Amino acid sequence: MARESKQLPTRSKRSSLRRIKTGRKIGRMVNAGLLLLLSATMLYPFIQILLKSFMTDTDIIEQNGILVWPSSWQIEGYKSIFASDSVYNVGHAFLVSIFVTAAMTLYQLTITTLAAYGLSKRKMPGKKWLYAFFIFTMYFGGGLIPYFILIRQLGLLNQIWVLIIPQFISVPNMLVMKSFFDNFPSEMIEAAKVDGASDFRIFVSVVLPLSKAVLATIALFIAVGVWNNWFTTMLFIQDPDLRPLAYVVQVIIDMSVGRNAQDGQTVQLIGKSIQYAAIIVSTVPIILVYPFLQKYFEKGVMIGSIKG
Amino acid sequence: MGSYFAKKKEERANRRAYELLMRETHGSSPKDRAKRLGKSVWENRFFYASLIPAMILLLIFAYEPMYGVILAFKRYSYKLGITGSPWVGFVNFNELFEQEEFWSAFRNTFVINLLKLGVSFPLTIILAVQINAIRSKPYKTFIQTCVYLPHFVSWVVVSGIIFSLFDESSGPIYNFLLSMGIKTNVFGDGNQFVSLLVLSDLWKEVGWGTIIYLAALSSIPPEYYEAAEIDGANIVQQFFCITLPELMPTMSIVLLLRVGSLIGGGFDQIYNLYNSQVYDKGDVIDTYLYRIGIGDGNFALGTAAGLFESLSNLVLLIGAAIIIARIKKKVE
Repeated sequence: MARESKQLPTRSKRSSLRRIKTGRKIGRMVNAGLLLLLSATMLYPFIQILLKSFMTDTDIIEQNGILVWPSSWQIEGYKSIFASDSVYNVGHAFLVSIFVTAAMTLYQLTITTLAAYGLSKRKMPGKKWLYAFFIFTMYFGGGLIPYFILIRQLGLLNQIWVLIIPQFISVPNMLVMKSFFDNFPSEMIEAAKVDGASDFRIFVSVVLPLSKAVLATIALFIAVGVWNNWFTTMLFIQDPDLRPLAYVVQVIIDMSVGRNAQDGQTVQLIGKSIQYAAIIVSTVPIILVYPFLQKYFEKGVMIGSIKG
Repeated sequence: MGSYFAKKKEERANRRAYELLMRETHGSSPKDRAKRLGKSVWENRFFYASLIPAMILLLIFAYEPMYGVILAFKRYSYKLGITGSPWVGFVNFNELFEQEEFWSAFRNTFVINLLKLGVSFPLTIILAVQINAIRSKPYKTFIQTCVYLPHFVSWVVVSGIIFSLFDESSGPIYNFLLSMGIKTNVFGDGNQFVSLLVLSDLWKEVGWGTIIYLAALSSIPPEYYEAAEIDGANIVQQFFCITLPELMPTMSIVLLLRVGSLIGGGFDQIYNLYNSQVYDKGDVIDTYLYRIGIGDGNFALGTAAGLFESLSNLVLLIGAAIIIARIKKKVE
């Protein structure tokens, strides 16, 4: 401050600078306040569902304002969705989801990483064509019906594997990873080569250990995608025992709102607290995992986007 | 432009000289060339091998269905399969184009996506600039954590949340608007339903959309702003003269991708929120295609609708890419 005022000789200039400074300060506070308000908007819907999942249905209907608080905490909603004799059997669906998510993340991450590394080699015969082979699938596809027929022909209908095997890659994820490998310091690879390491050896013990951030990011994207995937189940799986949580929640909400009733009237078939409990159970794992990985995925996404 | 061709010419000349040299030292017969290629492939064998699993699976699960689009020109028979089913020409497309419902879905897809783009594109940039302006690191992380969160939750869950917010007996937003004298009917009125789609999409994705802009913002040298300050530029001037031009490349990429997917998408959101009352405004190609293709089991018609959607998108994407390239050239 002292140095600045020395550089500015006249009194009027100094005061105008001070005015700008206080203006900036107010601007920053307004900005911070607006963002706080926005964050509240992002969190509010989740918090009100969480609170309502512990309330009785009559309590939920009585407290119809913006702010709610359970007049008495109860866990009947959770009890009934976890009951093994109920139609929802959320406990079982939760286990199915965990199995599918773990298996798929490992499977898709492996194939994506291998493909990304293969395409990151700077010079090799036919590279352009191989690259195009991947990119083309991003811009054109056969559509839902030919895909459905294919899955049926392969005999994957109503099998747990239909949730895993066909989801082997996401080309945009692969590109994020490829651009990370493209920028990998080539000196390290050269040094390993001089030491006589094979390409496989370099990949496993030089490249992979230094790619943890991008691997964690892509793994998170894959895992969240699988955890949230209900559509594949709706299309291909009839057996209630093979249903993952995302689809069971979809069914619960669907039945609860009864919106697909032909007359367009909404009919209440399942209690609200049951519906909200199911929503919370399926959301909590994501909310628990994601703040820990935030630092990683931000880095990973930026690595990808800098190169465009 | 001229320099570009000159460079290409030089490159070609260099390659030619290189080939001549190779011919002199290694011989020029096709056999030798094949040998060189073989050697180069063998040297890169690990990289080729690592591509194999993904390529085989792509061939099965992405390219086989592309072959399957020929069903759009056939009458599907379960017994004969796609290949054996009889050709019928453009009958499926004629049937599709005659349906009022298809055109309404086509129009709705375009309108809804355009509205989403118009609302979320500028707001995402503003939010990114706002987040970038925060000085305190922990506060910034906190805000980012909050605004990214909805992106990670599925539309199934978000639809459940929306039903709860607008519930006519207990919904806080429904009751709040009612107390202000506004009676909402978001699930029964077409226009209100479209607004709901646009706003809920904004709520879910605006935070996540900022990431790519934040990366670009962090790479603007702070000296630019310091220099502008000395010249007496205020915040608004700085935004329009420094921030916006620096974000231009990122904006054009985002715009290109969004325009390239204007026709299609939105299935998860709309399927979980809509009902037959709002089909006229809220039904989109993907939901329509699902209802006729999977719901009614009309495979050929569904394939035709899907092919039409894919091709329309491809045309849009190429068109947008050409326009953006033109604009870029003019700016330079």
